Amino acid sequence: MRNSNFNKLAFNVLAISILSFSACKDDDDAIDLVSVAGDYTATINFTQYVNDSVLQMNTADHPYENEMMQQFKVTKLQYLISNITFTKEDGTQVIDGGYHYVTLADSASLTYTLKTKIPAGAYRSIAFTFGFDEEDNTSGEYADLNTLAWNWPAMLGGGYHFLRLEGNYIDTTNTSSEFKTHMGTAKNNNNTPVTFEANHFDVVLTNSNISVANDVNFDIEMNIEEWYQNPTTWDFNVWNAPVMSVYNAQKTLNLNGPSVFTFKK
Amino acid sequence: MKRILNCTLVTIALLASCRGDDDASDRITPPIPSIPTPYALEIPIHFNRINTPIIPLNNPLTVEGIELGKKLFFEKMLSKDNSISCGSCHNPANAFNDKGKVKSAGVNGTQSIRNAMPLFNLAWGSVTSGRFNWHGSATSLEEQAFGPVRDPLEMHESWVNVELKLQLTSEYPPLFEKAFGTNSIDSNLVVRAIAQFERTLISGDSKYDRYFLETEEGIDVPGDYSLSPAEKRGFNIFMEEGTGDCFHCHGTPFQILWSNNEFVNNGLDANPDSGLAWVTKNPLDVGKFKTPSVRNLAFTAPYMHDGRFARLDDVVEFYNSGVNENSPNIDGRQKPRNLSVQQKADLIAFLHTLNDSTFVTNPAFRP
Repeated sequence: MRNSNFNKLAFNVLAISILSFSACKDDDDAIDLVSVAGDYTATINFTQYVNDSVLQMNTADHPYENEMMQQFKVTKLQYLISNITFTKEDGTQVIDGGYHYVTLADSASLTYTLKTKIPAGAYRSIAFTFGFDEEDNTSGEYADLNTLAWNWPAMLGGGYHFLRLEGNYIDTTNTSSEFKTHMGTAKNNNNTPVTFEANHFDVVLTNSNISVANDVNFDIEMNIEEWYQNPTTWDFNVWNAPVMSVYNAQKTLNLNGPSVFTFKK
Repeated sequence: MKRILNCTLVTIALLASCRGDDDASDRITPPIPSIPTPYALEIPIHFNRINTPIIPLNNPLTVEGIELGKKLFFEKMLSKDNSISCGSCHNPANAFNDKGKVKSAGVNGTQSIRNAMPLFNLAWGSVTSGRFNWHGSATSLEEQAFGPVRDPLEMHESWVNVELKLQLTSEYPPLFEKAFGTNSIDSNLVVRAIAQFERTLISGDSKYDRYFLETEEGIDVPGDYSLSPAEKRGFNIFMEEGTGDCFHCHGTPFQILWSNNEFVNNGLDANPDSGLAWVTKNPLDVGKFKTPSVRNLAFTAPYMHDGRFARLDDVVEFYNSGVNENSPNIDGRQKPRNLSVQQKADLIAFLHTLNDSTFVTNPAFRP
């Protein structure tokens, strides 16, 4: 979890606190240990849209349409992001080394307050990893994700699910059929022996430059239709379920993914 | 647990200091309140792969509380005619299920509407869905224990009567005194004791657990617990989205409980029992029941919330070809699986690696 960066930051903060404490000591006997000025809390709200409308789950009808004009509805949405990173104008980074699991079944998960405080200053961008990178995507490593059975099967390369987006679409026989868009490590059957490819992607949020002088609060918006377009159009009739073991489906999600998220302040 | 220990130390310190000040030997010393002994759950090492159970602050585990809870679990005075106890339908030898009965009999032979659930690893209910019973009607083990006593189809007794019957015995008041510091018996204390006992019912010593300890935790377990070719193939079917796809609900090797404890309509009926909707009043929950663990299946037949399937083969065939796809709120995974005879046999072979005979023979869980 890139602890070294986090620890370094924590150490600096501690060192500053100690210094300021000892410097003030002579002047003020009643000094309290307070947080260092310029360290602010960042809170993210996770929001979800389909074609510019706020996502409505479990609708009776199929209110949404993908690029192939296939109507669909959403019944489940869960996803995982990690290593939220603030990059300063000078290129130095503040990394919130950890992960956050979002499930629309629990509204509390739609808000995440970073464990890492953000020092005051100007930041040119905010970024995160969708899913886990190779270093973090270790099978069985995270107790709360294990408890949720969020594991990705070892036979597909192991680690964890990054996304579970499920619902129904109207198929070619005009019937409501299920789709289960699950994403994780991509198993490549074209190679002998089979290979497993890391399938996370990094998102640098467009226009996410901010100046931190107070606690900050912003939205990371998921535009669900983008999973199924841009650059590759997704056909629910071909890739409904199962897709976990379908290499091209996994790679398509990886390539379509970066345009899924937008920053909103 | 630490808090109790600290309290204990403080109390002892106070007592000690008081004693020194008091030289009047003829003064009547108030009885020293008995302090229950804190108890730490014996959690198998690989259960650390999932979140640690949350023990309610108002019901910490104690040796005396657990002992009392076990006695109460097997106490027939909890029923109207003193004929049945919790243990009558939750038999330790059957992983606390009801000895093969489709639906359990209450007092006077009245039949319950559900198959008695097996009881194990309940402490982790607090870190999964947090709901107990097939239809999720209780949000804690303490709350759950209130139900069967007053259910007319089960023990059909009033809690006032239970309190009175226990109070009038010579053996129970001192046991409550030891466990809770009062000999005044109250239903809240009865259910707390039972819940304490239930939290100790941990099952984690199946063949697969030993295999997992060796392969994932690097612990050398004496004996050979490697999986047979059939068991390995069965495991793959369990874990493959394209074949069995059991794992999305029934858990993964790292999930340890082998159930996510969520509520799902698995498509048994076109017009299902209300299930979770009975509690939530949400039409989207009609037909949803708690996903049971696939541990200990050899001991827990018959299967499903109404015990309709006598054999594990029946269950596998149901998922393979018998799901009613028109059932309302059916989970989207429920559709024909087209497994071969061999695949079905392999899947069952794997499931049997999760039977824990240590658990069903553990003398600590017997009356």
